[in-house]
Order: sequence, then C-alpha cells, then structure tokens
Amino acid sequence: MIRVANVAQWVRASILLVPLLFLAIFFFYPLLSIFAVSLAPDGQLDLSGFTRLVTSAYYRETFFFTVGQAALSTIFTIGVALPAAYVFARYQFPGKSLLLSVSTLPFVLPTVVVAAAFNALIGERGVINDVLMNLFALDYAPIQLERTLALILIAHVFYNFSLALRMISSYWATQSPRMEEAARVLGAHGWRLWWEIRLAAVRPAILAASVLVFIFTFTSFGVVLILGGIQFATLEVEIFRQARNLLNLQTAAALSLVQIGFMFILMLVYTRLQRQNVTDLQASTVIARAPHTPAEKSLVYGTIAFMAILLFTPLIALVIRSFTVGGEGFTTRYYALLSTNVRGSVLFAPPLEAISTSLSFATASTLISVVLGLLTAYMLTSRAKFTRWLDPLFMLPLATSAVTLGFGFIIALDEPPLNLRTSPLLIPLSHTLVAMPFVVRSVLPALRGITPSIREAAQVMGASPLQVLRLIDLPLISRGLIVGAVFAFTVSMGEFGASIFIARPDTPTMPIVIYRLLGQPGATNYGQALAMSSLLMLVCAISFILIERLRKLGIGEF
Amino acid sequence: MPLLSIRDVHRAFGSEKILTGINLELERGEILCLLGASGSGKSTLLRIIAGLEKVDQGDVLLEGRSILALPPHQRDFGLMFQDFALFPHMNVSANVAFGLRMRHMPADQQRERIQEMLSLVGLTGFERRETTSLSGGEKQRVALARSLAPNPSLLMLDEPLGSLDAALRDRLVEDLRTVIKRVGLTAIYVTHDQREAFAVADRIAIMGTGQIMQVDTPANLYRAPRTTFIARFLGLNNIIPVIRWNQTTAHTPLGDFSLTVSDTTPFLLLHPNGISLQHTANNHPIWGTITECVFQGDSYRLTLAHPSGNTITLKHPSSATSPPLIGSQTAAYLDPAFIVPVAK
Repeated sequence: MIRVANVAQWVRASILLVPLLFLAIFFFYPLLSIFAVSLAPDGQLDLSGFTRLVTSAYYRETFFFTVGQAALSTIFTIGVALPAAYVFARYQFPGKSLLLSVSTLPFVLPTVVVAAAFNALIGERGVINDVLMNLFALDYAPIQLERTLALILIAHVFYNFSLALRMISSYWATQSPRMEEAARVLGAHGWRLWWEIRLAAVRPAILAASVLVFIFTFTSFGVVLILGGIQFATLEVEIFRQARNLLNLQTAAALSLVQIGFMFILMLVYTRLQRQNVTDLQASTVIARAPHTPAEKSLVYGTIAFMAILLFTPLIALVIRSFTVGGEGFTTRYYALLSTNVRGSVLFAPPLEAISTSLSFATASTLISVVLGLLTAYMLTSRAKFTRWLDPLFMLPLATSAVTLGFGFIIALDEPPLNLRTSPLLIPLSHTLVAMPFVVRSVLPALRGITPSIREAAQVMGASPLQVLRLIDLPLISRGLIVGAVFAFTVSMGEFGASIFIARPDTPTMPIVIYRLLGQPGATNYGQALAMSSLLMLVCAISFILIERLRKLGIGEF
Repeated sequence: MPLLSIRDVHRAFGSEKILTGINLELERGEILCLLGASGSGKSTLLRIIAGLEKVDQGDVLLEGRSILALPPHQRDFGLMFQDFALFPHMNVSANVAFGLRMRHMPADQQRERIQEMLSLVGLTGFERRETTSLSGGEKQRVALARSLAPNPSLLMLDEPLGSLDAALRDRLVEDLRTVIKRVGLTAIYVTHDQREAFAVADRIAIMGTGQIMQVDTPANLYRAPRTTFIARFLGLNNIIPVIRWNQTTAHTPLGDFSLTVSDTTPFLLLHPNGISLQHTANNHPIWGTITECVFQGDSYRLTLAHPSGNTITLKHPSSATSPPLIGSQTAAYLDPAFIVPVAK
C-alpha cells in the first residue's frame, strides 16, 4: 500500500495526529489519574472513598442539592424563556435581531463577573439596597438575598435564558403556521390548540433545551461558590473544597468520578434528543408578523421589557457600583487602587498585574487553540471513516466540568513522568482544552464548504499544495478562524474553575483576583472587585461584539 | 340550493386589493377548481371560506345561511395545505385521528375510521409510521386522509400537489379525483397548473387580479376562452388582432374570416385544434415562412411567420410527412370552426 506518492499523505497524517496527542496527554491522562486516585490511591483497589460518599449524609445532601438546584434552575429558565421564544418565533418588532444577539452576551461573560454583577445589584451592598436605604433612611439592608438559593437561581436564569430562548424559538420558527391553521380547521381551539399543537410541536426543542440547561447548572461552580457562600455546595464546589481547602484528594477524586458519570449520562440523553430533533423543515413561509391586538402587543412589549431588565440591570449595576461604593458619590478611586498592592497578604501582587497575567495567558491559549483547532478541523474534514468518531471526542472537554479538568491537571501533571507544575504553560494548556472546540466549530463549516473541485481547479491552473492552502483555503476560512480565535481569547480571559486549581498564588488571573477580593471584608476590596469585574466585562463585551459582527456574515455552527 | 355561495366578497391587505367582488356558487358533489397565477387571490379566497381570513365586504353562505361569524373549528370543513402541515409530533394515525378527537368520537370508532381512511388513500399499514419518515407522496396522502376523516361537508385543497415533483403530480392528480369522487365530497381545488385543473375539475373558475374571469367545464373553457388573458393562461397563444368587423366578417392582418358569431371582439384566437398543413375544403390558407421547428415526440411544433409580422404556431404529427424546412414558404390551413372571437 505504501507508495512514494503516499509519503505526503503520511506526513499530513502525522501532523494531524498532533491534536489527538494533545487530547490524550492533557485530557485523557488527567482524567485517568482521577480514576486512579479515586479507585486505587495507593496502587491497590480501595473503594473507601466511595463508601464515605455513600454513607455520609453530608455528601448525599450535596448530591441532592446539586440535582435540586439544577432542576429548579431549569424549570425557571424554561418557564421564562418559553413565552419569549413564542414572541421571537411569531412576531416581528423593531430591534428584534439586535435584542436577540445582545441576549447572548451572558454566554461570554465569566462567572465571576456575573456573580459580582448580581452582588452589585441585589447584594447587601448593592444598588437596590443602597437606594432603598437612602430612600427610607434605613440603617440595614432590607433585601437579604446574599447567600440564598434565590440569588443562585436568578443568576442561573440570567446565564441560560438566551440559550433556551434561541433553541426553542428557532425550532418554533420552523414550524409552519399552516399547522395551527390545519388544527383549527380540524376543530381545535383554545387551550387544546396551545397544548396539543403549539407547545407539543416544540416539545423536542423544550426537552433538548431543558437537558442542556440542566447540564450547565448541574456543573455550576463560580456562581454557587461566590453567591452561595459556605452553606451551599454543588458537587463542583465540593470537589474544589475537598481538594483545595481540605487536601482530601481521594474524596475529591471520588466526587469527580460521580460527577463524570452523571455528566456522561446527561450527554447521552442530550445527543439522543438532538438526533430526534432532525425535523424536516417544512416549507415555512414568512411567519413572524407585527403584533396587532392589544393582547399581542402587551405580550411582545412585556417580553422586551423583561429581557431588558433581566439582561441589563445587573451589568449596569456592576458598572455604577464600581464608581460609587463607599457612599462618597462618584469616584474612580477603586480603579486607581488596582495598580497598588493595598493588602499584600491577600493577593501577593497588585491587582493590575493580574490583568497582564490574564492577557498573556489568554494570548498563549488563543495561539495554541487556533493551531490545534485548525489541525483538528482539517482532520475532521478528511474523508476517512474514523472522523465520525473523532468529532464528539474533541467536544468532550467542553462537556467536562472545568473543576474536573483543573483537578485532573494538578494530580496528573505535577509529578513525573510529566512535571509541569512550574511551567507557565500549564494554565494556557488547560484553557486550550475548553477553547479549542470553539475554534473547531467556527472553522469546520467553512472548511466543509470548500468543495474539492475548487482546490482541484486551482491545482489544474498551476497552484502548488502550499499555494492552494494560502490562496484558497485560508481566505475562505479566515473569518471563521477569527471568530474562533476571539472565542478562545474570551473563554480564556474568563475561565475560573480550572484556573483556581492550577494558578500559582503569585500569578493569579483576573477572575481569581475578583474572587479573592469579593471574599474580603471592607468597601475598598469590594470596590476593587467591582472595578476589575467591570474591566473584564468590557473585554468580553468587545469580544462579543466582534464575534456577533462576524457571525452576522454567516459563520460558525453553534 | 347550492351548497356554498360566495357573494360579492372583497378583501384588501392595507392598500393592496386582493379580492374585488368575488361571486361563486358550488353545487353539492362538485369539484370546482380555482385556477390562477400566484398572487391572483385564490388562496385568500380559500382561507376566507375556511374562516382563517376575514372579509372586508360580502358574504359566504352555506346552504343559504351566512357562516362568516363561525370560527374555523366550527365550520366542519376540511382543508389541505400545500406544505401538508402534518403534525410532526404525531405519527400517521394520530394525525388522521386529530379531527376525530376534536369531535369527541369514541376510540373504537376512531380506530375504525382511521383504517378506513388509510385504506382509501392506499396507506394501510402506515399507522405507526412517523410523519417525518414519509416520502412526499405519502405525506400528501396522509394529509388527504386527515382532512377526509371527519367527513367534512366541504373539502378544500390548496395546491395539494404543488410541492411534489412533476412525475408524481401526474399520477397523484388522478388518484385525488378518484378518492374525492368515491367519497362523494364537494371540493374546491386551488392550483396554478392548468393541466392539473383539467384533470381534476368538474368546473374551473379562472381567477385573475382579484376577480373570477370565467367559470365553465374544462372542455368548454379550453374550446372557448372568453379573453386573451384566459387564452394565454391556458397556453393558447395564436391570437391575432381584428382590424375591423364588417357584419360577421373579421378583417385581420392574416386576411378576412367569415364567422358565425354573435358579438364582435377585438381579437381572434386561432385554436391549435383547427390548424394544419393539410389542405381540406373550406379551410382558409395562411402563407408564411417557417421560422422554427421543434421536435416534441408525438409532433413537431412549427412557427409560421406571416408577412404582416404576426406568427402562429401549429402542431404537425411526427407520424405524418417530414416537416417543412426552416425558411421554406408554406401554407397553414385554418378550420373556420376553430376560430374563436376573444375579448381583450
């Protein structure tokens, strides 16, 4: 089989193996290490870690809380997204597409920023309490939501609302309105029309969105850790506490295993649902129309108002509070303080240094993600049969919780054969795992869109393989590549769960500094946390605008 | 009394007038075809009858009683859409059963009726199939079974074959007529395809620019379209202007024709059935140059250019003598019986 002409193919194949190798070393090896530590910490099978989990009421409660809060978050998210999805699918109103694209902003916001924003809105020192206290001359905060389940749920709804909205409304929009008319002519009306036709027709989308929101909230880490305080812990938070605070690696590994198993089942359910979701897109004529009746108008404008309040008030409150904490009116003091090391004991370094740390980590992650993502995308477009198996393989890190990834890194990569404990690349490598799938997803559609005949035409006209790559492939995938790179950069800037495990105390990233500052008493720390959150939000918002601009041109399959 | 009467129905969307004074009557057991180009208002008229659309003016009567105030679910009509509008979350039998459930039919009777309907459309054994797994033709038949199941007093079909490919369409259009006639339903069939209309309809109503232009049986309509618009729509393109009438003699650029007509019109349609290269008695010769000759299987389509600038097309059987060469001078013979006066 091996002929001279095939040498080039072999070279290409070995280059394409690089992403697989990366995945093996930095994803599967740490994962296996977790398995090893949980099942056989001293080289022999030892299930005491699990016995502890099963017998202890504390861990059972943690598990039930994790499931319970995820279920509640899912119910509330779907509940508020459903009417909005109907409005977006069926009605046309000014600013609709803008609102829809802005509603995805939370998707790129780091959890610490969201936590800080909700703190700034309805926390004890938040805008609403501040206003109420001034208004009624109170000496205590009337709204006590900090460290309550309610605040966690609100933040989860904020995060997942647009995801559910998009999934359900886009599905709804493909459902021909003729279907409703057919049902009416056949005799359906009133609630039966709603229940048996309108809602039932989007049931697959509702189910898929529910499972996805459940997955995201099941693995919620930053929101629960920061907004929940010590009395609430999801499995994620508990893994972190056991490993990082209590140095109880075996229990942490056992918890991780439970988490991985549960996620595996949920992902199976989700992919099964996705497969069923392949409806034949019936020739749907123009569906969305302007609202006519007063009831329709109030539904549409109510939705707009609700979304504006849900999406913007926390972010606006964050920025406002970052300038007004301390009660002395408008001040830029907290921004100025970022460059000085006020409390050396907390941070080891001035907060400003964290910005340059984050920027350099994010740059490194972006570079690695783009190179590996590009190679992966090429591998996935090759005609070989095995690629069908590889595609989901490369999405796996995205489905694995960040805390599990970080935990796997510290137990696998800080001892021989691979000791990277002091390597500055450790954080970028962990971020790459999460960021690379975004690059692959952005580039893949463009790459798949290049028909072989285009390349062949270029070759026939005299282009060498390298010239084909430079003159045909690159221009065609460049926009997708930029979207992927910006995504990777944003993900890396805001990554919290893995970083908090891996980052060395003297080189914290921005999210870690925000987390530490939020945990400290005093208006100065609080103000600094909000100032830094505002800056991080600014970076993410700019990235978001870039991505949306480029995506408008029809790039990416998300 | 007609089953359905439509009286002076008007409908406009904003400033766009869709229907401007529609009058139509439908007898029980009849298949009426609404034939018109897209945008002629035929679908709007159908939706008005179904109750999915309002009227600005006029009335719709069922057995002499106005039904305008009735919502769609109380009209007891059947409506089949171009995209079939099958419920994707229900299997075949649940789709067919939907209208029966809405009428609270007992479950065992429903089962019976579903069987009956599926065997009627030739889909026995498809009960448990998901609608998404069906082919276009199968979907069409499920949609038909679904609209027939509640035994509606009137069945409406909106371009029911429009989304299928041509070969399938030819086959299914005959099936459709057979099924509707077997059940003995009254039906309104909307299409823009004249061949489909000819095959399915008892009567055809030609629609254009919001009005009904002519209602007649397919044969009469084809034989004697009233206007040039209708003639062209039916694919009859040999239309020549009349310069002036002298009693019953029409002076045209192609010569004078003595016709037995009751009124004088500005145009004459030279019907393809009455044009041939064969000379027979009484036939009227037109001399011209052959400019086009297209082989069409059973015949050649010839284009003859008359010195006046008018052209006529005619069919020449491919089984007959070989066709005249392009550029040759030839005479075509018109049978006066097939010269039809038409209005503008």
